[in-house]
Amino acid sequence: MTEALLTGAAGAVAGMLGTLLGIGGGVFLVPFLNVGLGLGMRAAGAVSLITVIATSSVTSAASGRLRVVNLRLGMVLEIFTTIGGFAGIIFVNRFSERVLELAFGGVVAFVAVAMMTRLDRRNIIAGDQGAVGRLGGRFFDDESGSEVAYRIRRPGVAFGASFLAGFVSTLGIGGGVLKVPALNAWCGVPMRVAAATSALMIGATAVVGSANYFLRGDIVPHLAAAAALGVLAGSQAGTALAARARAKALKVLMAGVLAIVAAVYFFKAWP
Amino acid sequence: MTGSNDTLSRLETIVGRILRTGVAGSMAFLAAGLIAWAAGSGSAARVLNAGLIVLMAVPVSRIAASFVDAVRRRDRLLASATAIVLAVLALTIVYARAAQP
Repeated sequence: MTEALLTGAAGAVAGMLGTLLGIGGGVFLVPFLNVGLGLGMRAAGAVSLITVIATSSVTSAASGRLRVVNLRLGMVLEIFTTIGGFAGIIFVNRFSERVLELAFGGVVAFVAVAMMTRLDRRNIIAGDQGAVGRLGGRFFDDESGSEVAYRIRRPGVAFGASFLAGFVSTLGIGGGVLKVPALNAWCGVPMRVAAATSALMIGATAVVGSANYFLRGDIVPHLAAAAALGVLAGSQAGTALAARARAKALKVLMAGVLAIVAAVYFFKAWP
Repeated sequence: MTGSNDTLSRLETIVGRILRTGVAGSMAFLAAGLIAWAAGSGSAARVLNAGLIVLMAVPVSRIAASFVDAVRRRDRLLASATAIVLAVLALTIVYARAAQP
């Protein structure tokens, strides 16, 4: 019972932080479940992935979000993400707890670094007469007050980043933190489009890992339920706080926390 | 969803509905299941699992809806991409069931 309550509370914190930081709560939830409650990496990842599906679906349904999603781009990239996820479940099913801990530590370290070096490019073609190609798009940009266009550059990078994001997602994190910066910094996608598209697609990616864990009996149902409910509650709080919170200070603080988490995992995994 | 086509906003509405009702339904099962579990009821496991399955079905459903819409609008790129994703998802389920410990 205490486990369930703690998990719910952890979910709420993870959901809130995830929403405030835009990185998803998995990076906080998995360590809590794994180190705090003693769940194995697979069980922890399984619970976390369930919350990822919930978060992805809820945030995408929020008004206006679906409008800036580039569905074609998202779906094409999702091919690579789901294949990456498939590779990920083979990896997770086969390798030892220690290897998973090491992998997780590596990803968290990357997230910590990525949070500190956030690149934010507008990536907009002036005037909507630009040719957008098969995967580019248009949307109404509030900032400039007009419809803007963008086109995709370096699709190979997008495919690679998507595959990687899908692969690491099986550890229980969203993977968006790999995809969004890559799409924005190297592939010419405006930030809002990258974020919205990634947030929607992540739900599908999480199904790959979740289905695997579910069918193999790795999910602890009552903890998954507590976590999912907690995360949704937390993300509501996060959205409410987002206007007031000082994002930059919070990001620095959390990057520090994640760096510590990464260190803990490397320490744990090393013989 | 971007595109010069206004009919895409109809897909937006459908997808939005799937996402909202799917999550709401799932959470209802999960909450009920959690209470049942706390009360020591025997049906808890089934209700909880139902909630998990409904949740996992949400992204799959919206992708399926996108597929149907893409076929209707003869958007071959989107239709093929969506079909491939659904195939990989199906493959995952087959693999996960076969590779039981």
